[in-house]
Amino acid sequence: MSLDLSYYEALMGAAAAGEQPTAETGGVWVVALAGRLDDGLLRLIGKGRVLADALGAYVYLLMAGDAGAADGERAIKAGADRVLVAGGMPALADLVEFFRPRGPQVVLFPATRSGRALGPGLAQALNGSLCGHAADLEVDPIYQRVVAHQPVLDDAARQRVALLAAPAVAVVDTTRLPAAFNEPWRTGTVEETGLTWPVSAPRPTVALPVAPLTLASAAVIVAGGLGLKTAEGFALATQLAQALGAAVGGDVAALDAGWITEDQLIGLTGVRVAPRLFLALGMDGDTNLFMGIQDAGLVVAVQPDPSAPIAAVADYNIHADPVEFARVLLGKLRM
Amino acid sequence: MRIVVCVKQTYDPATVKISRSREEFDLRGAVKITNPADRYALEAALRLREAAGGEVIALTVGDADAEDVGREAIAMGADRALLIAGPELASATGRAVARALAAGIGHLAPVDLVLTGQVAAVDGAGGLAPRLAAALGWPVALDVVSLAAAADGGIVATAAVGPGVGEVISLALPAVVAIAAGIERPRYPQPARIANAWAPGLLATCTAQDLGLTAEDLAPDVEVGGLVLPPERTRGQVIAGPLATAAEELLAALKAQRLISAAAA
Amino acid sequence: MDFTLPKPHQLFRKMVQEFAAQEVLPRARQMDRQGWPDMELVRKLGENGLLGVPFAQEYGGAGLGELGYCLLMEAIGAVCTSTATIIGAHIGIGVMAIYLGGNEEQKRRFLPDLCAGRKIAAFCLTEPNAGSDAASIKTRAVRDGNRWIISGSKIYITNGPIADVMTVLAVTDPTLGARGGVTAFIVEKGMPGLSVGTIEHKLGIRGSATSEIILDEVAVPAANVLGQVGAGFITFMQTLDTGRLGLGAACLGGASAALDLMCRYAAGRVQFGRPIAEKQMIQWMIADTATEIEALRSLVYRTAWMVDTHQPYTREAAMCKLYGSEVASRAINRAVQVYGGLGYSRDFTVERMWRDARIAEIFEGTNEIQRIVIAEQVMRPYGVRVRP
Repeated sequence: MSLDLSYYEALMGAAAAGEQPTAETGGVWVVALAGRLDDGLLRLIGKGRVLADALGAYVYLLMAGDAGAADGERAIKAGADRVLVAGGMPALADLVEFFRPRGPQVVLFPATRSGRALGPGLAQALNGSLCGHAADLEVDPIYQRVVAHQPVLDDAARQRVALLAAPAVAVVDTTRLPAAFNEPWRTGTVEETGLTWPVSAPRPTVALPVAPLTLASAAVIVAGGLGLKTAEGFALATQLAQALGAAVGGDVAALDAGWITEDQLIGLTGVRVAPRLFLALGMDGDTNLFMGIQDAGLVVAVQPDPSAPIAAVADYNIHADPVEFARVLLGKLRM
Repeated sequence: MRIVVCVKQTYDPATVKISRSREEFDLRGAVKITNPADRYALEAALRLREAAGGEVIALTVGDADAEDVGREAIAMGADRALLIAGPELASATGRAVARALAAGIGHLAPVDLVLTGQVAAVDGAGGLAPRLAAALGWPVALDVVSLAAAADGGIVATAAVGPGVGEVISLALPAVVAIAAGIERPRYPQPARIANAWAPGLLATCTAQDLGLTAEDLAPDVEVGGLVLPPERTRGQVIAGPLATAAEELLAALKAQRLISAAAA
Repeated sequence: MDFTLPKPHQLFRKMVQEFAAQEVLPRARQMDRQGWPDMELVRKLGENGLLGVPFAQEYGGAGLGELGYCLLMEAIGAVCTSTATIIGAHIGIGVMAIYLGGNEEQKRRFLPDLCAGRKIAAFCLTEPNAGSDAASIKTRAVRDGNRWIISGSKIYITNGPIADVMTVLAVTDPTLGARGGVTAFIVEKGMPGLSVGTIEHKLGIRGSATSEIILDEVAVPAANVLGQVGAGFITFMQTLDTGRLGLGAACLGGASAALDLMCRYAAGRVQFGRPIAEKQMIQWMIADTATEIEALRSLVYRTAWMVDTHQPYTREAAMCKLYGSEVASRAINRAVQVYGGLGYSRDFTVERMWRDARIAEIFEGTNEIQRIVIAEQVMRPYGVRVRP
């Protein structure tokens, strides 16, 4: 018995009869500008696939730069229906000229430097809509339009931004997307557009002054207390901080023991910190410390006593000897 | 050189709360300020004027309150300001704002350089500079941390491309440049300039209609909805088990929440 | 009645609050520890136009009036009393004496450098035997042709060691007493015979420099006589009034900072299973402090308005100083109590605030003198003559 595809055909039109898609109008486009397809772009293609399935559209990949044939195949396995290959690096005018006749429904750019410059420009030039920084995208089932999730307040939350006009352009932070598809049964086409955009000469680079890593501004802090027992134990905390690119701090006990200097003291009588991650090794915790880390994002406490004050404050507790745990963690980080 | 700096009024992020129950911003007690990144843009414009001469004009779009931002720019050192005001502009989305600013820049012609802050505080997405450049048909440079006048009449911009690494971009004018918050703080406005910033003749106001913009030009391109909130914080969780597995579990959780770079684990 | 600040002053308040948080606060602890002003900070204050805030723009000031000065003192006083003291001694009494009492030539000669912070001012009135009894000063100025030779010593002079321009009150006619017998002079650093004497080691405001100023036959040109010969007392008393208002504003800042610190700690400190903010005794302390602060705020800013609209304000200025110093002391004392043992620790801020607050009830005219001034002003219509 053969499958009744009449409903499907009615929905998808002639393309559902098994022909390869040829029309490029509409559709969900993904723009890859550096040629090479990295993991981020494959995830973006996957997100494009999910959007396209909800919208009833095809996924097209515009691959500009020096891409190999293997990249085209990987793109298809990741969810693209058609891969269009071009050479060089398009300027805004080139992209506008490319997309204007094709009337895309959705265009997704990765949040690379070129994506952040070209995506919004394309949206403005084609009178479309834009989410300039999206962490995720979905399709609103009622209005059949793309809704981007834009991080706000330093990613404390995401704002739903419905893209009203076509093309709906989004510049996407691909690192936050779900893992890429790798579905060997997918088929599609890879074709040359014949377009070769100019390649601009690489620009000279220069060293920039880097802001010193201070406790008050650090995104990750490793802090040690009396539970590290010796200076050698505290040295592990310092090594852990180096491996994580973190700032080093401690509590009053660590200051008294001479393991830290006064400007490394965290707490009410020291520095108030607001890192995204605070790793407390061998600290029992007291009001002084807690008032210094009130604005910390995630607190991880490694110390042996489940009834220590810090156990109720930390998001994650590991009840173990902090020195041994630090060694194990360091080993895993260096692997 | 005539430099236009686009300045925007935003809320001070430290005073904006999130209402979990209503899934929206809680703006009670929120304080309106000049977008911090725009102050860096103003500083860059003032330094360029000090080095190469010219005029710095602050341009802002919004409601009547946005006048404060223009006045603050004048207090910081801008020669004058233009406010494009109107109720429809207070709630304008990115596409409309870019159009209004482009029309304002046209009104201020001839303009050599437009500077904006890279991103707006609270809910900015960094799309303004490229949008504005597209609306004007001018080149754009992003992530710029310093600017200098070039001998050939253009400018040289240094853009941050990675930690400690910059790229030197030569731009012919006119151009749009997005200034990123740098290490050196922008100057404080001089108190005497603050006292004089409300003097007549320094700030001009016009409406969108004055600039020839129609309701269709200013139609919203996006509709902003509610907030998607991360799960509530649960304190006191325990990662149990032997050290090796606990360490792995911890690293996986930290990676998933993007608290440590993928390279570290 | 419109209680909103004028727009320029709203922006100025924002600017000075940012400056206080970013430039002054990080230096406060170190200044207290080293027992000396941070001259780099003083330079920054000058560069950013904060040492000439109330004075007219034609003399290099910002033209923001007494209102601007009070906003400045409140914002700085909230983060560092030592810095507020340096500014108060410079703007509030040092430069102000020349601004109120000087002739056009003197104003044009001295004010631009003082407003820009290129020169620092001090106000020299107090002597070992003439504190509250200011009229019994002994520093003597004798006419010598077109100069005056001044000899004597002044003590407890804020900014003494760092000042370039000092206004000095000296006796020119011992037979006449305060009314007609004392004259104000502008004395400049570098004049032979002028030297800095003993440096005071203080309980608080250790980040300000206070010392003896010794005048050993200092020859001062007649062009440096401030106001009329014999009319110095009036100039000085007038100057003290505006200084008192600024001090009241600084106390307002300190009290507000204490209230903020109290509330933060009470909200976070858990004892008996609940934050101590839920205990009524703590709530009473907070309510009392908040109420006193509001009353002081209204008093200070209304007085600033009176100054800027050229109304008499001697009584109100004395009230600002009296009430401000006592409100700040009470608020900071309560803050130390709320912090408990931590409040007594030298590693934390409230201890420094507590030490810094004590001087406010003593200098710029003791609170006893302030009460006499107020009583005198209040009872004058009733025909009562009040003497110290």
